[in-house]
Amino acid sequence: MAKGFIIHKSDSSHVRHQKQKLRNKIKRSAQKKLNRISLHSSGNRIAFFSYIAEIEHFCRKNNIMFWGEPRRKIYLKGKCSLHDNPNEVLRPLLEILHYAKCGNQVINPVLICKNSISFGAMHLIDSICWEIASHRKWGVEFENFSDANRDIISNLRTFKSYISNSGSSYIINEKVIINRDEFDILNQQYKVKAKEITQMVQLAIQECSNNPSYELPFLAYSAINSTIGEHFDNIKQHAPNARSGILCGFYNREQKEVDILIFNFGNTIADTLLVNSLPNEMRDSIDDIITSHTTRSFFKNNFTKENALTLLAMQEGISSKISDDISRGHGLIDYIEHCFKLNTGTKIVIISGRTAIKIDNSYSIKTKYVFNRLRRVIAFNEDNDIYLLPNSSNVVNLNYYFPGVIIETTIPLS
Amino acid sequence: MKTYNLNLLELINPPHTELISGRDLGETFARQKEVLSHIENGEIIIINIDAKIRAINDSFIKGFFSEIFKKYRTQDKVKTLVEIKGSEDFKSLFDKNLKLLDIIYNA
Repeated sequence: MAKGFIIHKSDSSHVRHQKQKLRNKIKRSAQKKLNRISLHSSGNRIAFFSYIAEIEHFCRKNNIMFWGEPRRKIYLKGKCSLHDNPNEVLRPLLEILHYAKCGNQVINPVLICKNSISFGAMHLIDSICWEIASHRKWGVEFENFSDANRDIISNLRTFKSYISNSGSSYIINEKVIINRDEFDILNQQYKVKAKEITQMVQLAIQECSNNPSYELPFLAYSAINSTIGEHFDNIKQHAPNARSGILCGFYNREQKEVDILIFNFGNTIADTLLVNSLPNEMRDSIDDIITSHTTRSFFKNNFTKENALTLLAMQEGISSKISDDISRGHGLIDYIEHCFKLNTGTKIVIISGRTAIKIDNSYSIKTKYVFNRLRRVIAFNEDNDIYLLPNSSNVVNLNYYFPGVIIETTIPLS
Repeated sequence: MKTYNLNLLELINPPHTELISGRDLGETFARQKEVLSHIENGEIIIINIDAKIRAINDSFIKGFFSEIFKKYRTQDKVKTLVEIKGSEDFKSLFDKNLKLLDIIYNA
């Protein structure tokens, strides 16, 4: 004990009293600190902090409080990619969040890559880590990551607006604040980044084709800009509680492809069709599909009502806001059409709730007469019929829940 | 014939932005410029698309035309009331959306 705190026989009663007071005060302060770290059933101390509301919601919806002892070694099994294996992206995110709160508060976790990892997965991992780091001392060790991926991860600053153009990659990242001010509707920062990302794609093609004077044709230039615009319009329209969205463009010089990743927390796509204020016409269409699926016993473990609603919401003219204007409900289908105009080898994955919809050139958008008029439809089956089961490789029921929407688009440049 | 000119250049901020996007923006722009009133006064609406504008998304166009289509219903009629002055690419883009709106409003 420090000399100043030892009570000596020679101390006067006043001095004894003051020293005792100080000792008690220090003891109380240490106890308070200890109380902030309570014990998890595993014996690890739980860090007593809360993530931002959206991340807490993500954790709660996946019941991570019941996951038992968190593992320090977190394996990225198989192809850790949103398109190929979304479960294998969401699981490690949740494991990281679980470890941060209930794992060892001093030793960092280790992410071990068993196969490969996509840019979208790395971006999400980085986002989660920055959120954790805002609450506690935090770091992650990476094992079996390629040099190129280590380079990407070390350059990622997903929490802010930045541009990084290094040897193997070019990254444009923006945290877009959703501006809902009617009188300031021009002030949408994503439009600035849309231009930069479009120009990045143009640069990428110039480099790949060795043609520095190449210019994207109107349709392609317009398509990239428009796809980004459409998604942020959707966030504004259908996710009223979303304060921001992430927009990231990534040009991989080695793989010769461009990734555009956009995600936001908030309502899921299926949520938008479950609101009480749904117009009658829309409610009838939804009920018709759900009743048909139920009658045919389509709803099982690998295809749920949420999957069906998410797929339905993608079709032309399906919108919770159709009573405001019957021309609504084109955002997602316009987005998909634009992407495939860029390159037929494009891959898109849309993840929302427990649903992943993987779009590539195996199924295309076609016009069909459904719900009383001709509409563009993509149903992921041979007949392009939304009343039939979609291919389970394209409409996937996930093991984990994402409270919002993630859209990753990969455009090959060859 | 009386005309009323709209300049879409107001909706971008060159050189930083070149995209016109957003259903809300389309609706608000049409409302602020009192497009329907001008049409009802017998004026032809001329939409001027400057070369600095590189992209206009479909939602903006649908938002802009939503009140016009509610009243006039067909693309043939709307085309007599609104003229697009810009590149052939933009004219095709507007045509595509007007065709879609025609299908929706006349289904």
